[in-house]
Amino acid sequence: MKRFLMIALSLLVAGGAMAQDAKKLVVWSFTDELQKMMAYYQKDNPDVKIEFTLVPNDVYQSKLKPVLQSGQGAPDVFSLEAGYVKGYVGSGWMGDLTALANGAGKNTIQYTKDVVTDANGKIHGMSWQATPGAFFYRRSLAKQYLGTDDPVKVQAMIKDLKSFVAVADKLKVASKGSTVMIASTGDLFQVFKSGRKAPWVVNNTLIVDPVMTSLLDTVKLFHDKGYEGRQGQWSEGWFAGMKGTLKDEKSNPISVFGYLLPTWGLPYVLKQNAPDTSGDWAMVQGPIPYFWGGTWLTMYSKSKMKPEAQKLIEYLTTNDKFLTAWAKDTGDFVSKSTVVDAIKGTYSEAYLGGQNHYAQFAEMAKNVSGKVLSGFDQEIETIFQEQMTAYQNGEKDKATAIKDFKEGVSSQFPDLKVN
Amino acid sequence: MAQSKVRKSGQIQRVRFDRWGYIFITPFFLIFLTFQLYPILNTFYLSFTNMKGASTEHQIVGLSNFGRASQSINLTGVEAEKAHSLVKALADAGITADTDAPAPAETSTADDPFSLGDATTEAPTADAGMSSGNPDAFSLGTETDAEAPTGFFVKVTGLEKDAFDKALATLTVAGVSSADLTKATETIYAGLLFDQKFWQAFSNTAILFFFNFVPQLFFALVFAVWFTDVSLKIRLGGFFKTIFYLPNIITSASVAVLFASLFGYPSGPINQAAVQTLNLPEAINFFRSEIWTRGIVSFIQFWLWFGSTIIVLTAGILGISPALFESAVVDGAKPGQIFTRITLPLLRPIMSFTLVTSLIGGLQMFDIPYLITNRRGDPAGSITTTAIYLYNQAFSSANNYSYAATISVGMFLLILVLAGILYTMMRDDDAVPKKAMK
Repeated sequence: MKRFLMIALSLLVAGGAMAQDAKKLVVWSFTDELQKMMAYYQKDNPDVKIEFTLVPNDVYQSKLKPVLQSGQGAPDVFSLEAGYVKGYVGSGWMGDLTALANGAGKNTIQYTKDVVTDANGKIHGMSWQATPGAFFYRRSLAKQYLGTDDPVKVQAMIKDLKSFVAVADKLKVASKGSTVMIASTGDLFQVFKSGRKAPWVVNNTLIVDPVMTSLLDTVKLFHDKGYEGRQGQWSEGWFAGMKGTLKDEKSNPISVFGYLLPTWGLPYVLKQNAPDTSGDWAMVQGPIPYFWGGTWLTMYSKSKMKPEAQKLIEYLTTNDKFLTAWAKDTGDFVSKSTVVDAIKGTYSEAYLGGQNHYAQFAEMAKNVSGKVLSGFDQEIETIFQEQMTAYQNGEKDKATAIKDFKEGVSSQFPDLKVN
Repeated sequence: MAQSKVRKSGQIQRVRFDRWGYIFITPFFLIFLTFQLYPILNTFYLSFTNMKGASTEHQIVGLSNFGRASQSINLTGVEAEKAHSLVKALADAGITADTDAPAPAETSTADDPFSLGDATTEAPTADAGMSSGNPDAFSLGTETDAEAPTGFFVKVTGLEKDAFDKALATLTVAGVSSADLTKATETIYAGLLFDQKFWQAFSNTAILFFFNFVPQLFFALVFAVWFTDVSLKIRLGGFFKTIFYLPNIITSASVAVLFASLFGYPSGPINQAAVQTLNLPEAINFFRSEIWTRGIVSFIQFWLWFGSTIIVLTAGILGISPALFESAVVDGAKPGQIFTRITLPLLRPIMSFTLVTSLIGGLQMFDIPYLITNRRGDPAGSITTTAIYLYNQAFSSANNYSYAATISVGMFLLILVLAGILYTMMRDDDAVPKKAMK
C-alpha cells in the first residue's frame, strides 16, 4: 500500500513538472533590473507568463553556456553584459533580431546595435540603454575649493587629463589632504579602457594598447601623490565616500570630490547608496569621454517561443511609453534617440540639484563606439587590474607588471597569441 | 546480517533483515554512481582529450596534456620585407608563422588625425567609429619615449618532428644561415608536468595547508586532552566545544566577506585599531602582502576546522579504556608521561584518520582563498590553490575543460601518493602489536 502511494506521488510530481514547462517565457539575467522592467511589460500584457531567474554575474557565464549548448532548461530571453557580450555574437546562440533592429529599432542608438552585429551584418540583440560615462562631483566641495559648482565652469576646469590632475592637486593642497579627487584609482580604469584604439583581442592575438600603459602611469601618480582615497572599487569605503562618511585609519574624515560613473551609476550606485546626499551632486563629462558597461537582450536561437520572446525584447527596447516611463522613474539613459530627444528638453534631476543631465548624456552618447569590446574582457581585465594594483603600490616595476600580465593572460587563454 | 524474533499477535516469527540492509544502501549507490562516479570517470577521460570552448567536439590526444615537447623557431632582428618573405615561404610549406613586422599595405601613423601633439585641445568627437582615439589625451607628458625597434621577429611554435624538419629546410632555402637557425631553435616543454603555474599553485596549497593544520592539530590535541582529563574537572566542556565548532557551520562566503572587511585597507577595523591603539605609523595593506594574505587564509582555515578536530580527537581519547589511565596514575605517572606513553600511542588510529582526511580536504582548499581576494588567488597568485587554478581554467570564457580535467587528475595522483605515504607511516606501528598479540 505504502509502495503504491510512493509511486503514485512521484508520478504526480513528475507530471506536474512537465506541465509547468508549457507556455512560460523563461528569462535569465544577472541583476534584478530586468525583473523591474518586465513588471511594466506584465502590466500591459497580463496574460503572458514570465519566469525570471537571477544568476549572479560572477557565475553567470558558467551557468549560461552549458544550458545554451545543450538546450536543456535554456532561457528564451537572456541578457548579456558588455564584458562578455562580444563572445556570444558569433556563437550561434543569439537569435536573429535584424528585422527588429532595423524596424522598430531604427531609432536606437547605432553603437548598441554595432556591438551585437556579427561578421555577416546580422544583428543579434538589442539594448534599452546607452551607457556613456561621466564624472559626478559634490557641489558643496566644488563651491568650497573651486569657487563654483556650475557644471559648465567645472567641466572647463577638468577638460582634459592634465587639468584633472591639476585640480586634484589643488584639492589636496587646499584641504590639507582631507579631500581627495576620487575614492579609488579603479575609477580611472573604465575611462582609459574606452579610449583604446584596439580591443584586447584582435585576430586571436592579445593587444596591449598604449593607452593602458598610460593608465599605469596615471594610477601610480594618483596613488603616490595622494589624490585618491585608497579604497577598492565597490568596497565599503568606496560607498562610504559617496555618503560622506569615509574615514581613514586614524578616523579622520576624508571627503571624496567625485566619482567616475556612467549613466546607470546615477540610479543604481549613487541614488541607491547615498540617498541622503541628494541635491549635492552635479554631473559633467569629465576629462575624457568614455563608456562603461551596458546590457544587451537577446533571444535564444533554439527557443520554442520566439515570437513571444521577440515581442518582449521589442517592448523593453523600443516601446516609447515604457522607455519614457523607465527614464523618468529611474533616470537611466535609454537607447532610443526619439525618446531621448522628447524628454531631454525638460528633464530635471533632483538628485543632481535640478540639473538636466539627460541632455548632456544625449550629447555624450554620440562619442561612444562599441569597437573596443571583446569576448575575453571580463577575465583579461581582472588579470590587468591585479598588475595595475601591484605597480601602483610599488610592488613591481612597469615592465614586470606588463610581462606578468601577458603571462597571466597566456595561462588563462592558452590559445591566444601573446607576444 | 541479523535475524530477529518478532512477536506478532501471539506468534513468534523469524524476520530476516538481511535484504533491508541492501535496500537501504541502494539509493546511495545509485546516486553515487550517477552523480559522482560517472563524472569522475568522465574527468579522467577528458584529461586525455583536447576538449575546450563551448562545443563538445574533441579528439583524444593521449598524454600530451600531461607533458609534451615541441620545437619552436624564433628568428629576431629580421627586416620587415625579409620577415614577410619568410612567412610566405613557410606558409607555402604548410606552416603558419607569426611576425610583428607591419603589413606592407599599412600607412604610417604620421597622418593619424588623432595624434595631436598639443594635449590641451579637446579630444576629437568627429569620427563615428572611434571613442576618443587620441592617445595623447591619456598621456601626462612625463613618460620616456619607447625604445626604437630593432628589427622584427618571425616565430613558429608547436612544431612536431616532421613539421620542424620541413620548417628548417624551408628557412635554409630562403637564405637563413644555419648559425641563426641554431640560435633561434628551442625545445618547448608544455603540459601539466612543466606548467610552472600548476606547481606554484600546488606549493601555495601545501603552504596554506601546513600552516593551517599543524597549529590546528596541536591545539586540538591539547584541548581534547584537557577536556577529557578527569582530574582537571574543566566545567562547561560542552559549551566550549560548541563555541569552537560553531565557525564550521558559517558559510564560506560569509566568512570570506567578514575577514576581507576586517582586514580592509586603509580603514578596516584591524587597521584602525592598529593605528589608533597600537600606534602603528601607517595602516598595513594586508591583502597586498603575500605573507599576510597567506597567514590570514591559514588562520581562517584553522579557525573553521579545529572545532571539528577537537571533537574527533575527543572521541578517540574517550575510546581509550579509563582503566589504563587510572592504573597509570596509580603507578605514579606524570601527566606528560601519560600523554606520551598512553594517550598518543592509543590515539594512533584516530590520528591517522584525522591526518588523512584533513590532508585530502586541505589540499582541495578552494572557497576561502577564492572569495577573499579577487577570485584568482592574488596578490601575485600567492593564494592560488590548485582548485582555484582548475576552476578558472574550466569555468571562465576560455573553458579549457580538458586541461582542467588534467589538473584534476594530477591533483588526484598527488593526493593519493601523499595520503598513501601518511597512511603507511601511521599504520606500520599498529601492525606489530596486533600481530604480537595474536
